[in-house]
Amino acid sequence: MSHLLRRRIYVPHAAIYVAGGAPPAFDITALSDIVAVYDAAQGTYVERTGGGSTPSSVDGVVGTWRNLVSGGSAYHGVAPSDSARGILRNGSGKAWIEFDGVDDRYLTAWPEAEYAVVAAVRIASGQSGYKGIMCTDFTTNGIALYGVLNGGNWGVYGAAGVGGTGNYPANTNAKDDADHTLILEGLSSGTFYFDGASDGTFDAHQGSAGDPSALGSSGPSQCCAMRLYGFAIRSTAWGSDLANVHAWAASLMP
Amino acid sequence: MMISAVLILPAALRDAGNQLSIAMGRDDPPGHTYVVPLSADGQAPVTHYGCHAWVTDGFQLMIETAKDGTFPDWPPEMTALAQLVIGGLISSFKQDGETTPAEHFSGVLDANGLIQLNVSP
Repeated sequence: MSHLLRRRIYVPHAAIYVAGGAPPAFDITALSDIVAVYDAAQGTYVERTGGGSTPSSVDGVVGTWRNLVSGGSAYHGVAPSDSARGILRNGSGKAWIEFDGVDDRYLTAWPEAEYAVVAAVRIASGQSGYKGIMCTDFTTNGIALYGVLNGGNWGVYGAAGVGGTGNYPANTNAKDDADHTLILEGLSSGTFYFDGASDGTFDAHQGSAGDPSALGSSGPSQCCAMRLYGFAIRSTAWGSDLANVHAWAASLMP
Repeated sequence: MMISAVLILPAALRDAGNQLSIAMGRDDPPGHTYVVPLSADGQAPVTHYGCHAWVTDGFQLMIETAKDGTFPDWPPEMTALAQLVIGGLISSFKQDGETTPAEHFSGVLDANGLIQLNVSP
């Protein structure tokens, strides 16, 4: 008996896969250096406390959007006021938080740093100016992902001191009322990925000066009108996990 | 069903509006409710601040009855603050699904000759 048990314990996953079994499921929350993962299908609460005891209901407000990474409670997203709360929607078996594009956002305690980023998002058309999906605070470093840059396309913004000044747009205008995955691959420089395909490069970016790290905006008056199905940041590049990360984001959308 | 609410105050009443939101338990110090800068031409100086919120029909009724001069049974200081805020408040309410929040907000801005300032990074 002990001999059989030992065999079952020590059979490597690769051997099972070669023998015809399914490969291990990808779990984005288990990646090394993963900082925060948000999925609108789980972890949404009415209260603006960071914890909460009342799960949000469909077509109801979301005061807290919990980070799903184990031990990452400091990075729960918390609306700074009732008016900043988004609303939970559901359709075609998928869930998303609807951001009003006026003042909806969730403050977080993400450290000011550079991150690889992934978002599953539907950006509303008809927006202009700067409309952010997320930002970190910014003094000397940081990052903000814009669903809309002044000029139309999605991308990031650079600053003197971090390699350049001005817009770093991706090649695509993403504000088309359709579902997309947006990925920033690389930290201080890197590649934009739009629906899994390369969409340009960036070599500088900054966060939002004087404003706390936030999900849903790049500042209190730079809020993006969008559906946000899910979102994640990592303190190293996605690297060999890039395809799996894209697949994870795509799986959150109808 | 939630109700889409657009609330706008003159800049001079912004702090009072945020203090009232805090007193009502809908915001935390120092106040984050009226955050969207507005003016007649979309340029500084800011003349108004606005917000969009999802509210209940009870909240809508409270605002509408307050505009008619009837306030909830609040402490005198809170009622005085509410009277000050209501005197300058622009408000609009629509049922969820009637329009998008962004369209609701921009429609109220248009009706009141206001434009949101485009804030650069």
